[in-house]
Amino acid sequence: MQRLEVLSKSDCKAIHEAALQVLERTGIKVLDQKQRNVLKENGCNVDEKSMVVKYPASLVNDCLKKCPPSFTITGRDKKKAKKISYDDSMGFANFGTAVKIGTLDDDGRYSVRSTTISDVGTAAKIVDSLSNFDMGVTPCSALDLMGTNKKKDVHEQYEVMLNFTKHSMSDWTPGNLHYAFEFEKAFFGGDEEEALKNPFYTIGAPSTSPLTFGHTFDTFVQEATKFHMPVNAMGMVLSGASGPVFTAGNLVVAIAESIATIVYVQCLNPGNPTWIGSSGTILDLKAGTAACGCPERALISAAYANMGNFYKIPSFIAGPETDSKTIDAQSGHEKTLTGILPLLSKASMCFGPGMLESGLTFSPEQLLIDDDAISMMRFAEAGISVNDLTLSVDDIAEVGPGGDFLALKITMDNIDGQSTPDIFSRTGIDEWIGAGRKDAAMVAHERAKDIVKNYEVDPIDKDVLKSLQAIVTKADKVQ
Amino acid sequence: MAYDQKASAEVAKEAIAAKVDLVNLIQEGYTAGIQEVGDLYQAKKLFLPHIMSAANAMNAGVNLLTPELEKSGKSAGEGLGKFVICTIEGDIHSIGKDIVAIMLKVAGFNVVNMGRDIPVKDIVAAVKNEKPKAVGTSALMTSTMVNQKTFEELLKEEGVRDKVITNIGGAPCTQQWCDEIGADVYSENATDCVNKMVAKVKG
Repeated sequence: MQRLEVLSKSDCKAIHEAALQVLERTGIKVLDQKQRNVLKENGCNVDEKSMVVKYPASLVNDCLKKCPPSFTITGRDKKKAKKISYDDSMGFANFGTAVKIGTLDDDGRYSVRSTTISDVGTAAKIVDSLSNFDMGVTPCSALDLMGTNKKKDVHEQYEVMLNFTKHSMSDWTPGNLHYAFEFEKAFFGGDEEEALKNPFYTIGAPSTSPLTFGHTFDTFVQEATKFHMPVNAMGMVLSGASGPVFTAGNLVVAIAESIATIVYVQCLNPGNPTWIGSSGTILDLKAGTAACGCPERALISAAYANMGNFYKIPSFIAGPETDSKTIDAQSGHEKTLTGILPLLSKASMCFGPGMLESGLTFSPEQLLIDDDAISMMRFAEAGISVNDLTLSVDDIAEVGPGGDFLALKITMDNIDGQSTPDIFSRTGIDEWIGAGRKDAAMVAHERAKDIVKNYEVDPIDKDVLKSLQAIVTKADKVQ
Repeated sequence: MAYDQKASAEVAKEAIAAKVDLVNLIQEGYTAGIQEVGDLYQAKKLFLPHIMSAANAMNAGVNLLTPELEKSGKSAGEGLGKFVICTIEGDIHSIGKDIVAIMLKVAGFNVVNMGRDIPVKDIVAAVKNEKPKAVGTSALMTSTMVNQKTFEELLKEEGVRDKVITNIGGAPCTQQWCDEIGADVYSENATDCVNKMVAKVKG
């Protein structure tokens, strides 16, 4: 199917030029001295008193060209590595990082509680079992380790490493990415060169909108580029609050922040793999919340896909998401709306599946429902194949008026060519009643239980595991 | 409603020049006006942009009147009491916190907005110096949320924990987190904060 353009080529150009104007005229407040020094050395105009940095268009355009149009993402299982390209179909990652988990019990009662270290591993394991997922995001936070003498992020990533085999965008604490690099090195027998060539982690670098780069942002970019990890240059603008009320204006601020991030990344390490990323949406001015399941979010994500294509830089955006507090009609509708637009716009990667409550709650059941929806959306994205075989003129002649196509060999050969739901029901109502009247959430609940009990994640080599454990132990000793 | 900052400042200047009762002007004029906007907000007839614009208009006048009042040793009153608010150490997200600050002001608190990325020790110092009825801290990231716990601990160490009501908020915060760290009030959003804190200080 042809790429959906929510922004035409001339719209993309207009947004790019407006973002350049913002960077040249208004600039970005850069709180970190080192970052200001780097930007000054590379031709930016820096006002040390206000900490505002103004970016010349020529520098921005040069840095955009330094971003690789494609790169390969890998995790500990190299067989599952995936080549990412700005003009390829969209991949999927689960949602992260939640602070709550929604659980169904066997009677269908839904409850929500704070997430723990055990949830991190379980959620990662379920994502690992699903082939629709090309990479992961740290699914939830080990709140039970918060404020203890354990390094929360190192323990979280250790759990993810045990239970997940693909690349992930990980929620490290600023200043701790050297532990990520040590994890990677452990898999390559201590070989730094190999670890630099095969980073397991993408690092999100979100600015603080509007137009501010804080110390956290700076630390992440410095560390990620040092270890050659892909950086997600994320705009997270809220229309009407941290950005203009108009979607186009939101995009101008967000793109200005994303491309200014790219400037810093490419100044530090030219050619560093970089995503142009978005988690932008509206502040619902009536509800007072950042809405994640709204059409504006879908449009912003789709627009970023178009901008990624315009820049020839892979995009990493918000995909199937919802503001619903539970698994219901709202979550179903909003997930498809926010999933299908960026998918048809051919973003490179999205996050979102498994999420409820505007990005706060992770639900294993919702993840499995989303997985089923992804299969359907991908099927739709593939479009309709029109050729001599599929036009079927000879088969139509063979069957003739009043016949049927069921017994044709070509029909039998193409049974698996149809869309087949895994969770959703297409049976008749009597069969559904006979099977216990289970809605999608309850079917997903049973599937989740089965995965947790029976799915086996590829184990980690014993020696490597020992090294990983040693890194965790060492990290805990550092206060 | 005009939400006119310029006109608001003009009224303040005229009042100062005419030597009218400034306390009365604040209470019956500016405060009454913002409270009307606040009531309409609660009734969902007006929304965040209205209340933020109204607050800006009010501040344009009140900021001119306050130094005049101080010169004459008067004050417009403490209302529901002093409320210190900030975004906690390590976190520079301030929009949500600023909305809460405005809403608390509208509700009648004397709000001291310390800003963003405020070191925990500075918030404790503000509790000691300003002697507020309540202190609110906001965190938007799990990596900074932990500082809300540190804050609770430092208040205890410094012997002032029982002198102040602590309030926490920000997207990753929950009632469970509030209970775990021993904070007094968790608020999900600005309206929730106002409702709970007004009830709390009124006992």
